[in-house]
Amino acid sequence: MGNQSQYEEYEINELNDNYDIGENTIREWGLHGYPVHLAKSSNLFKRVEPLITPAQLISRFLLGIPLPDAYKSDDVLKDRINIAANEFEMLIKTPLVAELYRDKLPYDAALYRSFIHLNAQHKPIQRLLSLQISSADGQSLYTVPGIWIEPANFHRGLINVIPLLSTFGSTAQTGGIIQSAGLIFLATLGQLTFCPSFFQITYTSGVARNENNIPLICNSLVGTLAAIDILSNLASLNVATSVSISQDGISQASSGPGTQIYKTRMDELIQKREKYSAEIRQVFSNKYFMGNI
Amino acid sequence: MKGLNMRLSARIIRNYVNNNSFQYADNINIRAKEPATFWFQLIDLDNSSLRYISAFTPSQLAISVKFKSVDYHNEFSLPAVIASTDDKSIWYIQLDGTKDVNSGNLFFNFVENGISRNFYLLDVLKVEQMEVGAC
Repeated sequence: MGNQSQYEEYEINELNDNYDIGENTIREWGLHGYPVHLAKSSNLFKRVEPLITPAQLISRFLLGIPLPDAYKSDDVLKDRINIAANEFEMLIKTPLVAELYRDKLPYDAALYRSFIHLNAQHKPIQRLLSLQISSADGQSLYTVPGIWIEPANFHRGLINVIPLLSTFGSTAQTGGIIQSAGLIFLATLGQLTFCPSFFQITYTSGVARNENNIPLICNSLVGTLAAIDILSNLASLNVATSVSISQDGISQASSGPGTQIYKTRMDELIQKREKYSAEIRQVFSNKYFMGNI
Repeated sequence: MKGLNMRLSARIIRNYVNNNSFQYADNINIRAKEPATFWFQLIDLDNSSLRYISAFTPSQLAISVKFKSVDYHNEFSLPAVIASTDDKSIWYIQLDGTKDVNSGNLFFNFVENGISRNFYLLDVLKVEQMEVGAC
């Protein structure tokens, strides 16, 4: 560890492979991440499934399209699905399957007064493991109690600290709000209105908790991305636009679309990609950002 | 020395009856929280992906398969067992149904006469959930 900073050492110690998320979770929203805020599913309708398989990719998106032998290898289709799943993450800006993250978020006086309105960099938050005020070298200065953290907007990556108690009227509070709840935060800041790196959150984020529970609509987008890639590849192989044969005064000619052969299907899939990605971002992320700096 | 630079991997096997009767598969579908057995065959990627039969005795061989999770608490490893001493390339793993499989990516550790080799298979286990309406 000789060349590593104290901050790096702290990170390695805290986020090593033996991270027991179950034990460390301080807040999560309900039992279900999708559909958002679902209390209980009747299971009368299928919304989740394992990550799309090569056979499903063909039956859902490439049915009837003649595939060269190379594409009949499951390894090739699996690779395309894996690439498409990575494209999904870049397109939606959300992990497909849960990963563990740690962000440093700014202190903003206006947002602080709005019940410490924090916006995680990765959305949706599935489980919040810690919310701390930390120093620049990563040391924890203060840990916010989990009971104050409001998880209702975790699906949009929003964390609020609302120190309301379940009972009203005790002598230690006025209107259900603990009077001294946030004094330590402000005391460390004095008259500052903004600090670029103040709150530290550790959390898991992803559309699905594991790859056996992918929302079907996300699976469909992964399949759409893979199908566009495959059709584009197939179309480029269809180079001939016209063929004519003649012999002994008899001739036959035919013309075809050439490399445009799957253009209609690809255009439909591209439209579907745009629509699905917008809808999924709307559910799990933010399409617009607003600030007051 | 031959074999030291080989990159091992595995093929998933379905419907294993004996060493002469089985089918290769892309992936295996199992049901969550139900006992299941799945077979695989060791292959050598540096030798045309042919099956790899160790020259060592079964007592000198061991395979451990790790089922990963983002939560360490839900990770677990299981030992694989040689399906038949007649063909040491085919092994199987038994899931007892008490643990959640959180990923279809399997991470293998193969120890052969004290030499350890690691490889993984991508997306080979599909765990069908009985809760299909939400996740």
